[in-house]
Amino acid sequence: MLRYIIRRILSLIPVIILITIMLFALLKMMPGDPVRMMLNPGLKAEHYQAAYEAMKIKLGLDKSYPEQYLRWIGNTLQGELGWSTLHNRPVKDAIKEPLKNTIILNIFVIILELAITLPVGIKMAVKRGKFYDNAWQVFSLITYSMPSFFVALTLIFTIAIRLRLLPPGGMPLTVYGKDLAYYLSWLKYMALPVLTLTIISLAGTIRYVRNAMIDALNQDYIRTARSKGLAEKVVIYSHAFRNALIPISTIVIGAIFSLFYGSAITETVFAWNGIGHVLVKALNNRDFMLVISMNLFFAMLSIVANFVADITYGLVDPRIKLE
Amino acid sequence: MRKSLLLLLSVALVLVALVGCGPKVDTKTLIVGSPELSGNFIPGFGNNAYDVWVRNMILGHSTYATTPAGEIVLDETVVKNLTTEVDDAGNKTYTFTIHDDLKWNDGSPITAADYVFYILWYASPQWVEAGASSTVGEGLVGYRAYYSGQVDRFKGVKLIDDYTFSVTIDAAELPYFYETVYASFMPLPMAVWAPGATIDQNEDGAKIAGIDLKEATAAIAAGYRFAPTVSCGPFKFVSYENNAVTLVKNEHFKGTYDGKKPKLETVIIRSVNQATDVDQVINGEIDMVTGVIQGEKIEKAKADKNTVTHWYARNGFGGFFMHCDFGPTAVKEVRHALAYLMDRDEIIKNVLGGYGSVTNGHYGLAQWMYQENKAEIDALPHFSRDIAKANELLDQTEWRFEADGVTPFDPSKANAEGTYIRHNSKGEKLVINHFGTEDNTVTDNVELQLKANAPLAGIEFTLTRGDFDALLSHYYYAYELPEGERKYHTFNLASNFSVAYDPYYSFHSDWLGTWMNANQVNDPEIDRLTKAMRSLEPTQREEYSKLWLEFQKAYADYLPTIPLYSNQYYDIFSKHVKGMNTTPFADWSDIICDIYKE
Repeated sequence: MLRYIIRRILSLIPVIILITIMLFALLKMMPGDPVRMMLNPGLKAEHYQAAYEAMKIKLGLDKSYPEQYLRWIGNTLQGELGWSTLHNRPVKDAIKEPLKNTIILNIFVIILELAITLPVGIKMAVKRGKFYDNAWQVFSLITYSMPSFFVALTLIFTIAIRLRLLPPGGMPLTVYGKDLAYYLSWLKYMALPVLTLTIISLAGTIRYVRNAMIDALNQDYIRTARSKGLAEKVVIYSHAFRNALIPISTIVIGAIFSLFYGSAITETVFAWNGIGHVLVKALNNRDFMLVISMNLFFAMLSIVANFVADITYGLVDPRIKLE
Repeated sequence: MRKSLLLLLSVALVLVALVGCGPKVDTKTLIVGSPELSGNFIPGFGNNAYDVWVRNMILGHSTYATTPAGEIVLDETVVKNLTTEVDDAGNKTYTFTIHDDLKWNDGSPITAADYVFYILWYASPQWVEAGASSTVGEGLVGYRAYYSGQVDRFKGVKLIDDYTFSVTIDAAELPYFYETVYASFMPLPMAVWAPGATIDQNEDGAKIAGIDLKEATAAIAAGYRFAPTVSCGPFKFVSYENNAVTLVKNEHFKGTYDGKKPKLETVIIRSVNQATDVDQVINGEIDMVTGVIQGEKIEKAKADKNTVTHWYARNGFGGFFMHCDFGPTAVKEVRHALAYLMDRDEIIKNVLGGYGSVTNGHYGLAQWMYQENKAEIDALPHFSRDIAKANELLDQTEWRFEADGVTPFDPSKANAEGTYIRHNSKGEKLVINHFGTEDNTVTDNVELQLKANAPLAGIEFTLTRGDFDALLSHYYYAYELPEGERKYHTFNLASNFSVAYDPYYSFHSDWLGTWMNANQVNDPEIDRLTKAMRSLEPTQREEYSKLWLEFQKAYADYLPTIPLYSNQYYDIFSKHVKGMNTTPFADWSDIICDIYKE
């Protein structure tokens, strides 16, 4: 196992280097001048030139591409993600708060998603072909086909604008202090984005759980368990579900790592100050360092998530040997 | 199924139960919805319009103030005494004595050293090196040497005593109609920005002493500028969290130039989705949104009995900007012909839902110069769709032939399909390449009109869409593009006027080949007028007004830009908000001391 882990880690190094080179090349191929975006448009020509040159040096853009690449890698390894031209501050400062907000939002989404999908998926498998299964199949097909902005705008229109039950977007205000009302207001502002993200994520997970359960229920040991006269609940939850959990564990691990991924569209529609929203803004404003840093972060996260999923698979299923 | 439904129902109930759990907004708190701020709350780091709102409210006590009518006046709440003196070389010294009861929001006194500190800090090369950009101190004696780092003392700035300082305007900059702009300075809290610093004064000028200026400027640029808690405006910065800025009343604020103090206790600017901002005002989630231009939103607000609207004309315009040094648009008749190929009223109807107006020159409807010359300005050519006139103008240009370069172009053969195009004697087609930004209704309308009308005048019109950054490159910095990469002749974008209206920097040939004269205007008459307008004493208002009128006529004749529309900006707010008398020169943050809730 240890040898497998070491071998996997070593094999990841060239992948990571390749990713960084590709990201850097993409960054440099993008049209536009980030320095220009940062400068005060009211500057006179001579001041403009001086400020332009100073900013270019500050951002390290006066160096050759290989130097810029090495400097970027070196800084990233030390935790310095560069300078955000949009926010006019270090990238790590610009993403700190949005990343926290995205994680908070995603925790609620994941909890709600698993709380709904696991029991529903199991029951769909048990009642395969019956009304319950068919109804949820139709529901999941509809929600799977709906783009997130459509769900978001529908919820805003009905719940926020027509019924006036919840705010149509924004973030909680701290002006009145961080008391109980403040923390409850987080729930209020999160409600619609959480609902949107949950609705659009239900379909895939429900069907995944259902299929895993159907596979498990078709196994010989289930027939054996039933023939032993075990109660149906025990058969389903102690025998079938436990085994179905092996493929589901991939989803759960993915969900844990997806805590860091922002939903660009949903966060933007709800003016939720999350990392997805920040990334969209950064792209629109040619904030190269923020875009490249976040992409590198997400790429690393995917690699680690896959790696952890592989290891976990071996741990939860003794039949799988990691060599 | 039942259990799942129950679960969903209980989730919904919890959500519903949360309604109303948030903090209750009192009548002392104003919540303003905005697009996103960038969080730079001191000048020098970008020009995000919503950051500027915050700056307007937390900064204050400048020597000069701008009134809601757009006049620059001495702030007598700040300045106790002002004397001016011209030396033998023609340099003009403004000596300010400030009142001794001005205070920072932490209660400490504001002294003349804080004003001098501001000039020295903002004009320093170290500040530029820290990433800031500024023109503070420009026009003063010794500015170039200090700004470029040749010397560490600013010759034209002098600290006289605790409450007196002077600045000397370079004779080379005088006379200047807006010369007070060179003498308009605010204070900065020296003790906070640069603890331990002092102003060292000798006959060579003033300098900041006692600190490492490079380190100090870098430290402010890296941190304090995001949370400038010590300031002297009517409000005090409290926090910027999750795209919301909170400001509270500055109890030590002495007053605006006309003696007003804030009536509100708290102001919150929060980022909201622009698609639902007016709905949020109607729902009571926020108190107001400002500068709304979309007809649909305005109509919605007008229809709500609890919502009030107030509008003012934009001090600027959106236009069809042309490069006057490149391709066919270098020819005046072509520029005029293009103006006759668009229906500007139709554009206002389509883009602004009718909430706009057209101008015929480089002016805003609220400018005092326009008001004084209204009759003559309104008599300037009002371009409207006239294909025959466009053809008549183009017949005077080199593009008056058919493809063979010999047969005269016959306008009656021109068709909407664009199969019959004008050529010059070399057989080159008359092609206008336009660049507009994506997701822009003005671009859509320009395309709609010129694609239909330009072929009728024998023009092949192409339109390329791109992002704003590409627009900047092709419009402002076209002169930097390598040979062969320059291909666009016209652009649609917008421009605003500053209170100190000085077209010299935008249209004088001194600035050809720079981003400032982006149209690349090169006209002796415009050169003469723009120089003459600025080379007046501030008291020569009548002369300025006459020259301004002449300039407008010259501009309309040269026509570097076809004005397409000037917006009506709507402030939309709850009926509880009072005092929202915004003007083209003063938005809500400028008149915050007038605003209250009941």
